[in-house]
Amino acid sequence: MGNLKKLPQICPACSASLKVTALSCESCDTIITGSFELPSLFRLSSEDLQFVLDFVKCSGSLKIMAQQMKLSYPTVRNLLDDIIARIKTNEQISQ
Amino acid sequence: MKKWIFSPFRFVAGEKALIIGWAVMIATACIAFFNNAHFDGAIDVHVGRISSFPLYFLEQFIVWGSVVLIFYFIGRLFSNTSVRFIDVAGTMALARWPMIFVALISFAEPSDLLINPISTAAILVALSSLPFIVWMIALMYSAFIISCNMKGGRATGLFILALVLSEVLSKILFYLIFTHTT
Repeated sequence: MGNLKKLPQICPACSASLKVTALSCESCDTIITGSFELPSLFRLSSEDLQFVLDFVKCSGSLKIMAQQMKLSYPTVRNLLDDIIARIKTNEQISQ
Repeated sequence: MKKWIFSPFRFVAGEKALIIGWAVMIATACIAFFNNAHFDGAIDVHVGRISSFPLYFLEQFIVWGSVVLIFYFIGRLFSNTSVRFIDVAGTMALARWPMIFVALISFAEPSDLLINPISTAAILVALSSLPFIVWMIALMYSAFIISCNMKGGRATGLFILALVLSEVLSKILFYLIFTHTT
């Protein structure tokens, strides 16, 4: 996750939400163009996305997440709540 | 280190915090028995009145119980997340650990405290205890914002309200219990 480039989400010119307009195949150089919405999860920061991935890998268990992160249960639950709030905000902005 | 001093609940909460907190509360009650220190309010300590051994333990749990009930109720009412009782109970028990230092400092209270409660020695002891009481309040605030996921000015306002209500509830319980037992 740490090696991924940060995906820009906001237009630097007008601050509107950016959309995906081109997808390409590195194998055959096919390029697909259009206007595609970024999925909600991809609008999260790399740290938040890593948390979501770890959470899914832990079968959605906050207790296991807390053990792995060496944090208390409510601290991990609060981190998840913050991510949920950010997803909801992103969804509201994109609507 | 700073996080462990003022916000240990980032790392420990729930049952673990409750067991450590209770152990410290029991140790505090044992010390209090020997120097007649009474923890007779959510953030109170008074020295001098001689009581029976079990009352020192009862005091600890009445105070802690009052705090937990009020903060849990406030958390459930105002938090946007699910608040677990065990988290409030555990973190609020552990938040009381600086009181063991207050109990130890109380050994320095002058022997004529009941006759002369505003002597220089008594004031010095009270002032020495103050940082530990402030520390406990800081820990209680940390316990509240972590166990109930509260933030910002709303958290501060609700914390002050809950602290005042806890103090009132504990005083009412002490009044009811002590008027029937002493």
